[in-house]
Amino acid sequence: MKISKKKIKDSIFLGPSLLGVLIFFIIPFFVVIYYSGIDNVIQCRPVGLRNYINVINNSAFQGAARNTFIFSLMAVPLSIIISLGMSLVLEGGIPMKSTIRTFFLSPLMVPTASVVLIWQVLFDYHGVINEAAKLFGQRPVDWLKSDYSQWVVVILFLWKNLGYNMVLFMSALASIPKDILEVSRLDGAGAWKQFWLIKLRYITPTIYFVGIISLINSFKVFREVYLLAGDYPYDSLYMLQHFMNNTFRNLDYQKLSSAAIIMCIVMIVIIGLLFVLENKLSEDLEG
Amino acid sequence: MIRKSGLLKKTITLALTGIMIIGATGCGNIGSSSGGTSSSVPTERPKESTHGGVAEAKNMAASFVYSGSNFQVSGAEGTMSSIKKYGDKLYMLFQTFIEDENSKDNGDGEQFVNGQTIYRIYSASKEGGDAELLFESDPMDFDGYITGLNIRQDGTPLIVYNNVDKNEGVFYHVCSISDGKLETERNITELVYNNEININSLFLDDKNNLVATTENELKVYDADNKEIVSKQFGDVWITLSGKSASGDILVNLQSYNEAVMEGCSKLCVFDKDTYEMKNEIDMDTSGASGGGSLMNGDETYDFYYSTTNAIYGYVIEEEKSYKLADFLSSDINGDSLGNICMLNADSFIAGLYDWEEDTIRGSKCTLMKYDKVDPSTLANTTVLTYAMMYADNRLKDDIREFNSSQSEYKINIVDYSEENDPAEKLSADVAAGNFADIYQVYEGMGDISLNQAISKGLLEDMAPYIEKDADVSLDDLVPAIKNAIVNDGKVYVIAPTFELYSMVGKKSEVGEKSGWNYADLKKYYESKPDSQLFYSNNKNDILDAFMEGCVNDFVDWENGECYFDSQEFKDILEMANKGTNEETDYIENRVSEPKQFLEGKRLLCNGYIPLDDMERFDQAFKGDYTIKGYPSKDNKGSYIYLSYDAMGICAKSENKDAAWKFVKRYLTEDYQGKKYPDLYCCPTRQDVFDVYLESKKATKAGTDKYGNEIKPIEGSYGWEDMEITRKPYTDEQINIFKEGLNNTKGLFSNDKKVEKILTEEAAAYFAGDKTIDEVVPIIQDRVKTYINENK
Repeated sequence: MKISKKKIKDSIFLGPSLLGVLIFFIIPFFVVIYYSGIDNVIQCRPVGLRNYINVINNSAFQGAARNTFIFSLMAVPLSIIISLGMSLVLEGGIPMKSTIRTFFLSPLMVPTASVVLIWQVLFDYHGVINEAAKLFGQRPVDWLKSDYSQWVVVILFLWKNLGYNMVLFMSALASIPKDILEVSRLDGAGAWKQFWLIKLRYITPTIYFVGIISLINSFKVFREVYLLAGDYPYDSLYMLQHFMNNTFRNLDYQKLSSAAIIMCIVMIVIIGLLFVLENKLSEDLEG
Repeated sequence: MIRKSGLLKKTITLALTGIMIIGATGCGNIGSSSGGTSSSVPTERPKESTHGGVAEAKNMAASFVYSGSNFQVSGAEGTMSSIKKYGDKLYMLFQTFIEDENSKDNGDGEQFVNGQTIYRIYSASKEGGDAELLFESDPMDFDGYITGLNIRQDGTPLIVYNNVDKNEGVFYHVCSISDGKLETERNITELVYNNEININSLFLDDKNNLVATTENELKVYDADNKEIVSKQFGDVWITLSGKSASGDILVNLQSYNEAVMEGCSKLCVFDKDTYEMKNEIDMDTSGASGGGSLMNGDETYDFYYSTTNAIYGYVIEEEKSYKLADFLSSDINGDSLGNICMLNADSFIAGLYDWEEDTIRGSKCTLMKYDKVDPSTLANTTVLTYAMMYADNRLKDDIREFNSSQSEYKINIVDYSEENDPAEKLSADVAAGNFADIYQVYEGMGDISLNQAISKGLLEDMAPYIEKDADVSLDDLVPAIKNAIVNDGKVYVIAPTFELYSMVGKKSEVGEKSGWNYADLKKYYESKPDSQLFYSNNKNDILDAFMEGCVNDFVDWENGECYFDSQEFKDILEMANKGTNEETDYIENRVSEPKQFLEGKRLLCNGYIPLDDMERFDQAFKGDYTIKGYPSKDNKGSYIYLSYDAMGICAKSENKDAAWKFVKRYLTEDYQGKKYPDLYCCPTRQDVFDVYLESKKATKAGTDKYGNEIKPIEGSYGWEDMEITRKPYTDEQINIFKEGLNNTKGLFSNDKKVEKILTEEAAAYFAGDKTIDEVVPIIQDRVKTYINENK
């Protein structure tokens, strides 16, 4: 069997990247699977699915999964709807369009630590909002240690991500063929009908993309929550990444590995469902 | 065109490949490319630099072993106090104290001994042999001190000599020796007096200029004592100074960065010709043992320095320290080693001092030569590692004793206290699979609590080893200790000593019976409105004091439940809230601790309760005291506290049997019986504990059954403004301690994370921002998350 020169050349160029992926992704992935199947890293006795059962039955994990799910369920649709709405408004040719766009993009440039500092100034027990509330005779609220806490983080998430999503939607809206919109207008379609029957169909791939990106970002909100409320925050702020981070610090790799694999499976299912949904909508558009 | 494009691609590919190869060659190849000239390239250096953790301790141990032998210098008299090398010659300063005939040693204060020191300077070959006497001070005609020995560039030995003139004060001279007499080379009296700050070190550079360092200044004086260089370093202190092999001036600066609460250490290198700073390097010299520990370098290292644990060589160009000799691996007591003189990287001469000897008349000093041992000859020795957060001298002595008692195994310490963040480094080593064979279990293992270490399988169950061993048995232990360390028939930690962890109060007020609950304590506190509970009356401190002993009452680890919303915890918060927000340390005119008890202003003493504290309590409470314990739901609130000598075997150790051989010594009657007089805490063996108690009660001098000399306790010491008179313990005192011991309910353990959550949340209640009912649910909520996570 003769290997062509091209294949050898390709392999040489591909080699370093493959090696990197192998060392930093593929091998650790199998190590995680191995860790999830042993009792501890000292004795390394196989325990089958016991770690998975323990993690699923662990109420901290359940709470973290519930909180993360609720947060994503609130933050992702809101993020899509509001940024889409804003992009539609900006598309309408309002004055100071460029300034407003820059204004909404600016949070992307602010470092997380600074964002958290601003949020602390606003939502601390002695923060600006509570001081303002006191002026109107209201009792102060412990925003980060009460049932409002997740909303505080949702607002933070939206503030940080709306601008980016908005730009993506604006770009998608700009790429819709103008003649189709023109024809629909001549046929008597109003703004709502145009949006629902034409624009929405054309921007479906962007909605899907924004949805995936927002979902990933919603999992990454841990960084902000950690800086705001520490490693053991109020119950409703305790996210899956808290669980992972804390179990790692406690050197509990079995729990961490099992949780990571469970989370990975759930993510694959969610993204798979979104794929199916996107395909269905695309078929509809093409058909 | 196509051909041209192909050629271009090939050329770019070749160029890129070349760059990659060159880059890869350059990477991590500092050693071979450094040096500049061939003479400064080290011939053979250890593969690892400093701070390698467990991996270094295990794999490199054989590389750091030096073997010692007496360094024979015949004809030298006295105690060696300085040694310098020049070429093939050694120059040594010896001193002998001649006691006056009318001097009296009253046994109590040896400071009253009168006499005169004779200084002798010898030269000898670096191989040893006959010493040539260069100078000997005449006790009748020599009124002063020789404080330093230096060698000039031309090989002339110079000394710094200060003589006392009864009429005109103290004079400082740099002298050379000629025909057995001192000849003043320069008078530096003015130079010394003109400096408002003390000069810490003096040495001559290669141009024969005098280099002096003060606490934070470097000064250079020419032959006429004219100041030619003055460098101010600001808010730092100079810990080490000296010359590099090439003659550059070296100054090691230490400072403290308050913002990050971390010490910083820098090495400044000043050019030997211009005295301008040419290099500033981050260099960790923690543990370096004082100004004299920087030693001139050679062709292998720019300079050498020593700590109490090791000797290092430093290469300035690489900005790297290389460990050369590990004292423990070499069976050397680093604390006894002084005046080290490096002959080369593989060999050094030093004085081995017996500090126990009379220091006024001169400590006993044995001149030793240490040579590097070929690591291959140690191949048959198995190295065991003992990881500890705090290595005290007694532990080191024990290890040396074990190492020298057999040749099969060698215990090597991994001292995490030398790391910037000891707990994090230990966790990182564990996470990376770099396990030590034995772990010090001092309130857990760094950030890993004892329970976590056990649940993660980090510690080996020693019960089977104890069962099989004919020398030790769990039944030998004090019953309370046995109950504390045996958990479901398993033993993960053992210790030769223990203390009680409890609360002590006034017997007539808290009741004779040991143990109480939260309501009892609250009632007692409320009945004393003018008194404070503990040493500190700060609200946070009171809460901390309670939580140290009570936190396990509110946490059910097994079922993942906690009870911080219970009335008992609310009682604790309410009691703490009666304190102040003022920090105790900043209270002016604070009433002394003994007075607080005597005047009834303080109710309880909490924390570690060693037996020796009974005499303090006796006087502070006027004999009316009892070990009551922390309040608890089951009325049992005293614990066994295991200190830094508690240890466990790592379950991952490949030499568990060898590790057991070392660990078991601590449970033997032989060890505890011989060592208990030197221990601050109580021995854990019942037989030794009984002898220990008898020794405390002894009213007559004698010898115990282990051959230890027993003296009746006497004398006194100060406890703030109270004079504590020491006398033999009474049966009553012993019985109070024994009763406290009998009422313990297990090993002391606390959880810093739970305490942190409590402190964070209680702050709002203590500040008056929230009510107790607002704070308690948040605490309950947060702690429950933590507990469930670790369930």
